[in-house]
Amino acid sequence: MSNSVIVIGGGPAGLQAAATLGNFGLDVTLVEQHDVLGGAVAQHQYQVLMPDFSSGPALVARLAGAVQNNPHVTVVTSASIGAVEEDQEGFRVQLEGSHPHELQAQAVVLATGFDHFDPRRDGKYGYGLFPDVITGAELEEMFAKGPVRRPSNGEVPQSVAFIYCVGSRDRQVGNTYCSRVCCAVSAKQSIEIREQLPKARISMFYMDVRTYGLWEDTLYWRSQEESGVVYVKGRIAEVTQKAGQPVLKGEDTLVRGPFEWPFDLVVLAAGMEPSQGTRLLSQKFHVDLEPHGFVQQSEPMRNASLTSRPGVFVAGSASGPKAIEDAIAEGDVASLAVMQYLKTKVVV
Amino acid sequence: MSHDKDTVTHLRLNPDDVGQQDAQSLLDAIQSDLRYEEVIHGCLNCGVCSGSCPSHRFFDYSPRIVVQTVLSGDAEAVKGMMDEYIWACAQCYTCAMRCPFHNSPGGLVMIMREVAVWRGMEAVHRLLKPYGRVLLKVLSIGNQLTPDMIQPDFFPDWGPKIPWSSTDLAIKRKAIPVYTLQVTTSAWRVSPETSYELYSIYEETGVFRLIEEIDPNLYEVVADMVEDLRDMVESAR
Ligand SMILES: Cc1cc2nc3c(=O)[nH]c(=O)nc-3n(C[C@H](O)[C@H](O)[C@H](O)COP(=O)(O)OP(=O)(O)OC[C@H]3O[C@@H](n4cnc5c(N)ncnc54)[C@H](O)[C@@H]3O)c2cc1C
Ligand code: SF4
Ligand code: SF4
Ligand code: SF4
Repeated sequence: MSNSVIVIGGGPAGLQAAATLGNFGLDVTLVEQHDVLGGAVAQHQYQVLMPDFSSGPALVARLAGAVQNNPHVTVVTSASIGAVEEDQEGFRVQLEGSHPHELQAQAVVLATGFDHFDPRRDGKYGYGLFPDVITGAELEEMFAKGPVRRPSNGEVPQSVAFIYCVGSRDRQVGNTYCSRVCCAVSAKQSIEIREQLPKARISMFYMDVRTYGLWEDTLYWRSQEESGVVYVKGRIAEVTQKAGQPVLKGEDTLVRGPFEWPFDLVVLAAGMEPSQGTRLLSQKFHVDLEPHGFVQQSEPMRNASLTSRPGVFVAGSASGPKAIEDAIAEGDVASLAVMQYLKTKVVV
Repeated sequence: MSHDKDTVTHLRLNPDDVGQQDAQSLLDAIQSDLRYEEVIHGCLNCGVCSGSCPSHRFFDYSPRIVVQTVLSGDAEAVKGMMDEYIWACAQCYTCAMRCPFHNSPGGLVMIMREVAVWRGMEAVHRLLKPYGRVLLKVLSIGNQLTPDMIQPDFFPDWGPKIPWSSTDLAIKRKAIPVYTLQVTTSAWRVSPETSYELYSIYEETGVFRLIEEIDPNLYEVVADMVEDLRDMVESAR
């Protein structure tokens, strides 16, 4: 039997893993549940990417092209994983979809990614109730469609607020971790909004600004220096609506104390959770989860893609919140681990 | 009577503490309360509690600052807060519903208030002044509010029927088909034996000593009442 690998999930991490494994001559099947490749970047049509303001569509085109044009990679879209069995030969995986069939492989890469936290689960933000309260992902979709407008009346917003840490760092919703990218993504989005709306008031309501590492000055400082974005330290306690406008209620913990502040448009920096697919497939492949529900990296000090189960590897946001650049890097990290694994396993 | 030492300090019911107002001992009492670990886990300093707090909106009061001050360990600052600051809390517990750390700042305030009351702090003298009548009811029969305390214009938030309810009380109470409720000076009939036992508890736990500390006039009335009732019950036995 040849060296075959199944990569599950066609986001940045899975696409990179499949392309790299294919380039090394392994026989790869990439399984994606949707009919488009590119993961969250494609589904929410990110146009401009954090941190370098490069093009989202160009990234998706490059990553998808690399698997589609690779003779060693078979791409299966609109398909899902059914029963999974393991024997000495490796894994037998039933593929469900329009052309159900069985796949065999010696190794599997889980690149099943994340889902956005649904802010309806935290009623205090009025999401789903007030039309001008949207998520960061919906703002990306808005950027893709055209200029930014208020969903309630189609008017140009004169004021925009970003609410940080929605669905993250909060015991009340069960997510006690930080989603890592939303501070930096919000800063990027505020800079983009400024380009469209030179006069608008843009305010960021934060508990901590976590534009970690090299993003501190390139995003956080830049949004203030170049784009006149204002940062207010105070986590929003609730959003109400007055005269058709969302009103943010909170405490400015450093300067002005209590406030009730109306904005034309409110963007929720909703965090990342293990996706439905990540939850489901971790069960099917019997890999351990870490306490927040992501796939546990069993030996991150050795290789980031190792799981509790030999032969099953993980890449991208399935193992925790992370940026696209890290998801792509992990696609390669997983490829390396798969190659090492197959080398020890297969007797030539 | 034997005291289980741990229980006594945890519940801050040590009668010897009445009147003890050393700042560090107040903070120790707050932090050794059985509930403390449940209401405060740490604090992200995020402002969600204060942002949610109706009192923060209208007074110089922030639950976040209460939590931060207690966590800072600055006993004098905590004592200062117990004089006036914490009494602005409405005990609505919205903060507890929202705090991302699962703290209950309102619960912390409740502990601080109980300590302030137990230690007979100056603020408590002031704050309990308007409640003399309620206190007397609680101390004498264990009821807080009784039918004869209802006045036509006292409780507008209880609805439009209140003026009507406050008239012809005796007849209306008689109409309740429950014998123990056919009274007007207490919420239900309280037997002398019950009051007798209540007084023993108040005495053992230091409640009478506390009342003597914070409202000597009230205490005089209560002391007479207790003596009379005890004489009556004991001679009837
Ligand atoms: C609003 C927002 C904006 C962001 N913007 C940026 C940015 O500008 N720059 C940046 O670096 N990061 C950004 N991120 C983070 C970025 O989206 C992630 O780092 C990246 O998408 C992770 O890639 P992934 O391949 O691990 O997962 P995903 O993109 O989630 O891809 C997972 C794929 O797996 C598929 N899948 C899941 N389950 C199954 C299954 N059972 N069977 C088959 N397929 C399955 C999914 O359909 C999906 O296609 C942003 C995040 C948010 C929330
Ligand atoms: S990255 Fe920023 S907004 Fe996102 S959870 Fe972390 S601190 Fe909150
Ligand atoms: S319980 Fe007190 S501190 Fe908490 S929100 Fe209500 S009034 Fe504010
Ligand atoms: S909501 Fe909780 S964590 Fe935030 S400031 Fe208040 S007590 Fe601290």
